[in-house]
Amino acid sequence: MEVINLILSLLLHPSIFVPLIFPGLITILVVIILLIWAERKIAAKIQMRIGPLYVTRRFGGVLQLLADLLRYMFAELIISKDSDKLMFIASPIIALTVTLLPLAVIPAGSLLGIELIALRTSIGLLAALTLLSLTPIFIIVMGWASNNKFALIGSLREGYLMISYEVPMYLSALSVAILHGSLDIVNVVNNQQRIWTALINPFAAFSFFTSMIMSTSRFPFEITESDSELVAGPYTEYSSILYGLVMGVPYMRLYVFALLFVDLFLGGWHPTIDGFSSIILISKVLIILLFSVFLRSVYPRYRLDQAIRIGWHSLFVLSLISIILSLLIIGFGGISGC
Amino acid sequence: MVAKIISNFYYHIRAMLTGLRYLLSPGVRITLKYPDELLLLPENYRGMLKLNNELCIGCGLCSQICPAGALSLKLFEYEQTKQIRRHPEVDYKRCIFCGFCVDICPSKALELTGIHDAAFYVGDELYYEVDRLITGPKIDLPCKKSKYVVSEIDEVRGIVYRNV
Repeated sequence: MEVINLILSLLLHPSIFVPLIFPGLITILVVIILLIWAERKIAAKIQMRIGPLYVTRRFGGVLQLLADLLRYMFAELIISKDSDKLMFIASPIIALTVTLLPLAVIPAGSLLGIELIALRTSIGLLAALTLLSLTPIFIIVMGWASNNKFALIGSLREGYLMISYEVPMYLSALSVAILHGSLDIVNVVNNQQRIWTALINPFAAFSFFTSMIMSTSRFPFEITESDSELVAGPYTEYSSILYGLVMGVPYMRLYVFALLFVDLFLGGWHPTIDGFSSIILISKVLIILLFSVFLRSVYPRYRLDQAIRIGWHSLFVLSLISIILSLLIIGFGGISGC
Repeated sequence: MVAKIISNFYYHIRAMLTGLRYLLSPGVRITLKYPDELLLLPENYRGMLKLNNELCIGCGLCSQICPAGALSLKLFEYEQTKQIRRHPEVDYKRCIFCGFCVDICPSKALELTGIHDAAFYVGDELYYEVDRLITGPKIDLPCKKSKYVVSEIDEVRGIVYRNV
């Protein structure tokens, strides 16, 4: 009995529960399976098609992605002769790991009295943004190690996009920190009890959301892996289970970004129910995720130069405006005066 | 400048609302669920070939007219009578289903079956020798519940399929 109690207390300790169960690995897998199914179903509905149907037909093909993953598992792993073999195999794994790291510092409310944050620091926001900026490096490494034209062009595009979305994203995130006077995400969320940041500073929210769409290569910024021009961008040479990994990376990134977006702009777990504030949070995250994948069926793809122009001409200006707005609000008495 | 930004924003919102309208509108789908629903084809639909060996005189006009070079004449020995006659064979890897061979045939030995749903496990099966051509193609559908439908133009939904 004591052993079970020990295991249970270990499992329910935030530093294990957060990365492993909620909002970590297991939740991510479930969310991704549902999300990709929803993406395909939404696109199909808008384009008057049916979408995935024949796997678990009674539920509309929910488990299609599971079947796809199973197929990837048993496919042959082909590593081309001239590729940099170590980096070719290691970079998807590192990219996946690095994508999940920010979950340690992003708070996810509380569930049954457990505060769901693995590591609370006074610079949580900076740490989250820094960890989030590591993934594109490994996507570029994937393209370089593949020794393939399409992969190289794809990773170059990722590099170009990266310099155009990261600056506005960080500026708009920091304008939130200025507004709430804290870099601790828990403080930022608790400050939004009365009014959400997105309502006080909509420029920052818009700029952050668009950069988020850009960085996770959702439409209309699906430029990195544009499958009609470059076969699959940096992921061209990947096959088998490694392709399963790299295909999941942008979706996991989208999930982590959505979590951060909800925490910073949509009031996190407020308005809350005692003990189940995570449910509020995850439902907001799901709405954001569904909206992001819904964009696929509305937009065509921007050209690379158009995307970079949007990054520097619109989003950068908007994020500067959002910083000025935050400073003005602070100057006129802060958020409590709103 | 500001007016342009606002109008751009308005167009983006309008695009999203259009998408949302399509998402929420019920039942507008034009997919034909193929093995379950089979389209009833028109009367003169061409499809794959069938040879009536009684009528065939082995003149070779079909292989001459064939624009894709799919038909060729081979000597065929009948098992019972030991009679040897010239009959066409067809290679469906090359066939473009134009139906010229049927039009040119002087004795009306070739006919069109109107069957087009033929799938093969091996590429060599696409080559129809004389005896298979005499038997003709047959549909081997995986689904037992498949039913025939006809397509109709609907003003609201585009294409609808009606059961026959």
